[in-house]
Amino acid sequence: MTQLRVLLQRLHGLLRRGSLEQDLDEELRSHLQMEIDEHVRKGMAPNEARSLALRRFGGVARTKEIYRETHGLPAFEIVLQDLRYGFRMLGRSPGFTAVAILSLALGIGANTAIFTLIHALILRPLPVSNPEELVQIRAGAQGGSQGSWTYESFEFFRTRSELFSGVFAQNNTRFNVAFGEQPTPVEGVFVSGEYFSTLGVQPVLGRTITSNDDAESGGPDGAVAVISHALWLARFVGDPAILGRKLVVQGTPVTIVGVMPPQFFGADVGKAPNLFVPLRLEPMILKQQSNLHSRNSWWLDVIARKRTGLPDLAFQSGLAAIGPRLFNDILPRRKGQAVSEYESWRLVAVDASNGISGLRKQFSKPLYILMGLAGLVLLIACANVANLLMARTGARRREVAVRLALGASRHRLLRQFLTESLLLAGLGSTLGILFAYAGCRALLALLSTRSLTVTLHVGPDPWVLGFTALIAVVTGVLFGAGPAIRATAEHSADSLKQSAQSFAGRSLAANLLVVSQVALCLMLLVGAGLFVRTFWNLTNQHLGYDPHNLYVATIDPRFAGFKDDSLTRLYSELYENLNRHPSIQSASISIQTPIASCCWAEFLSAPDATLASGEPKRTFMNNVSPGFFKTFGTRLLLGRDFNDRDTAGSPPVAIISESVAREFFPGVSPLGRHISLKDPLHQNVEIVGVVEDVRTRGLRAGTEYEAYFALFQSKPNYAIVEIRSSAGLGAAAALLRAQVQAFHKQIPVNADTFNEQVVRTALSDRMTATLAAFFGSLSLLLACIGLYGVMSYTVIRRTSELGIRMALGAQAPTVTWMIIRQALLLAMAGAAVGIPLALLCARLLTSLTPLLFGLEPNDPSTIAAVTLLLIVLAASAGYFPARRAARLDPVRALRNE
Amino acid sequence: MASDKTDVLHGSLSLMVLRTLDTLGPQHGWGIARRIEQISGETLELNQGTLYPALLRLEQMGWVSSKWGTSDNNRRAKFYAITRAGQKQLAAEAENWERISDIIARFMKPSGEIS
Repeated sequence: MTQLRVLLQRLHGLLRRGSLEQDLDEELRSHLQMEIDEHVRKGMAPNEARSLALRRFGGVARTKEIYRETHGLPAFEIVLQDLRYGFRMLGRSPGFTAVAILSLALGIGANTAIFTLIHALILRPLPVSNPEELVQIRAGAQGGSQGSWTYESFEFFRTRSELFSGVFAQNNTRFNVAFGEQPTPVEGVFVSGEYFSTLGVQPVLGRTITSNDDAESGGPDGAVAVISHALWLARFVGDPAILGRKLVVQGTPVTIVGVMPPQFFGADVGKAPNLFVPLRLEPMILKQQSNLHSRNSWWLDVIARKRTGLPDLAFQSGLAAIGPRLFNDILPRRKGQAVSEYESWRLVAVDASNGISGLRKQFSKPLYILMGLAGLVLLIACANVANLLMARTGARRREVAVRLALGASRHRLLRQFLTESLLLAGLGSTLGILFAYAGCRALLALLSTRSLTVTLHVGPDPWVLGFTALIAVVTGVLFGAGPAIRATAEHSADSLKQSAQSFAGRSLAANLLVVSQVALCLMLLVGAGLFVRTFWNLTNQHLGYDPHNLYVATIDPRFAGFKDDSLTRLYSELYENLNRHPSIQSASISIQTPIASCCWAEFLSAPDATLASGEPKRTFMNNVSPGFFKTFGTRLLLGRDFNDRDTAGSPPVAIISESVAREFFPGVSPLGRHISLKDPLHQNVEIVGVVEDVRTRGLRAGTEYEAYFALFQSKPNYAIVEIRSSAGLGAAAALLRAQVQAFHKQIPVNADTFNEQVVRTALSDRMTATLAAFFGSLSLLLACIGLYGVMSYTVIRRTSELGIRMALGAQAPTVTWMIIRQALLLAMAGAAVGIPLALLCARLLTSLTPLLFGLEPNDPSTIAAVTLLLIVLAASAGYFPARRAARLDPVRALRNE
Repeated sequence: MASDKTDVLHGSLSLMVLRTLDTLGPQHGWGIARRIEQISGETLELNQGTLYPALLRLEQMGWVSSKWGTSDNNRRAKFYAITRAGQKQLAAEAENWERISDIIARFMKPSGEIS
């Protein structure tokens, strides 16, 4: 207690050093004056009295010195002194300082940026009360692969109050909200009445949604909604009178009852819902597309708060105990199955303190790999700075010797050197943090597409800053300790005599550093090469369609009151109009597109299949208008496309993909034969054409079985309009909107480039490739600086030797080659270490998860290209010092000693 | 760097200062110095300067407090006063001192064994 008190007092003393000093001055002056007065009173002459007083006092300066030591923190003051000295030394060699700080800033910035993302996406707890109690309820054979639930299962969980103090369900969606004339897409979420109370978040304005509001015809206040802070600012300029205003959400008016705080982005990390709507209003808003009453729709995330104080064991066994009831009685059972498909399932509660996130699954592995790559960049930067520091301590050897000779302890000098390194690291990380925040914006852009924005809060955060401070200290010690120990180890008497030239040991250490730099750089470049080629392979494979110059828009005219015949008529007129438009090369309408066609898969059979084992095959279906294949650039291999004679009145026709043809009709023409689905609408549909396979489930997925039916022989509800045009997104989107809204102003139209949807399936690959390439170039730059520095230093060190050689008749090219050869040797030594390491790492990484596409981790061309690149750059890093060496004047070089 | 880690009463000087303040009430530095010299019967030639770091240390420990005031002959001076914690400390130290001096005294008694 007393110790702490003294420390605080001393800290306080440190801060107000000036005023304490003045106080003491005055106190001592008054003391001396009293003493003098006393002597004078006893009859002494003032002069004599003064000198006696001073004598009796015993050294004013000494007293002040002791006083000062007592009232401040001497250790701290020495650090301040070291820092001041460090700043002066850095200022004296601005070139060194700039290169060192920039190297560190790039390395530390890269790490901070990646860590910021990892923290925001994976580690950070939700800004709610007691987030550690939140769990997501999942199920499955192992690990809980199933995370979505039917509404009935949510109702079952909701009543398990012996386990949970709160349970809520949510479904992220996108609403079309009418702000004035134009329907605007707004990210939103359907939330059950317990959402806000379970999370424990308070609104900044009004109230949250409660269980009373969560009713199908609305609660006591009718249909209500809560909006995000961002929407409040963007659409209502922060108007405090917002409560009670109505929003028209997909034709349904809802009343705004609350505004959430700015840091609340819901429970799904990476999404930023702007509109929170009670779950049971879903049928009113989505109408025919509603899932609420469907026993078979697995559409809800269920998150629960564990009952406080419930022991973990009791919780787990309680969870296991409720499982069977759910699986046997609540979940939908597929007809005709003897054994329950949920036989092997069990319930699991996954920690949801940091929220749930679909992004997390997609991006966490790439992010950890990028963190590793960024770590390599930092190591390379450290090696660079260590090298620079060693060159500099060589130059400072005299200073060290003088200080040691004057009685400075080695400990004191070590401290001085380390303070300087930490100062460099500190400055580097300060700049690095600035880089990181600029970088994070760019990173988020890489994670997002135009239509799907990833929103992560990446502002300054104590955890991130702590992480940066930690790596700053570690790097500071890492690159500073070696040079500091070397610099202070030599004995003073010898050093004073030595010239600044002959240290074999120093050049060995420098060479080792450069070799390891090259090795690390090579590892990084191999990684970067593999990831870049993976992305290239993904985006340049044959997809079965041409995603460029293709624009798609999902429309649902039912929101504007169209149905049945008027709907069918709208589609056929829209199809005609679009195909007549001069700036559209081709247009079509379908109910799915590749990539987006995830949702309609059925078992297809062929009654007249030539193959005896013509088992039904799970096949992806689509209803398409004529011109669909032309618009997508999918080749028709056999037969014909749909045409305008395929109408509701004509016999139903179908087109199959080549793998379906191969599966059911090997060796014969499928034209004129038939396919069937289970439902009565699709029985014995005649095959009129065969098209090539398309990659329908994303860039990494293989091809699937596909079958297409004629759109105008079915009754389409919502649809996707596709146009091929070279107009550009802005013009194409405007055109699509104008064409669709010519029928009715209130039909929402969300146009996008098709390529965007394709790229979205490879976002994490794009991020990894881009960043790995960036880190690779960064490390290459750093390694070149390192090599250049070492070669320059070599030339200086060998000046006299080179002078002798040239005096003895060595020609300039010989000298140049000598130096370049050394650079090449260093690079090759680095490559010899780096290639096996790179192979090992690539093998390890790819064994964990399928990261690469279309190439092996030991891809020889990547490794060869990267090695060649490094060697060429090493040669050029050696070239400039070599040229300087070749231009040496032998006479002056010899005198250089 | 004379940092005093244990921070026990800094020698007998601190004890004398506390005792002086306890008996005389608030005093300025010169007053304390004079008093110590007088009590010791002018046999202790105090280096008056050493008093100030000692006072600062006592203040940091929370055993004395200080404030500026005016002396008898109208000089501005800093007055030190003993705090409650200081009195407690003084009592403890005084007892300690007595015990130690008692022991030392017993050792120093001429008992014939010293040659």
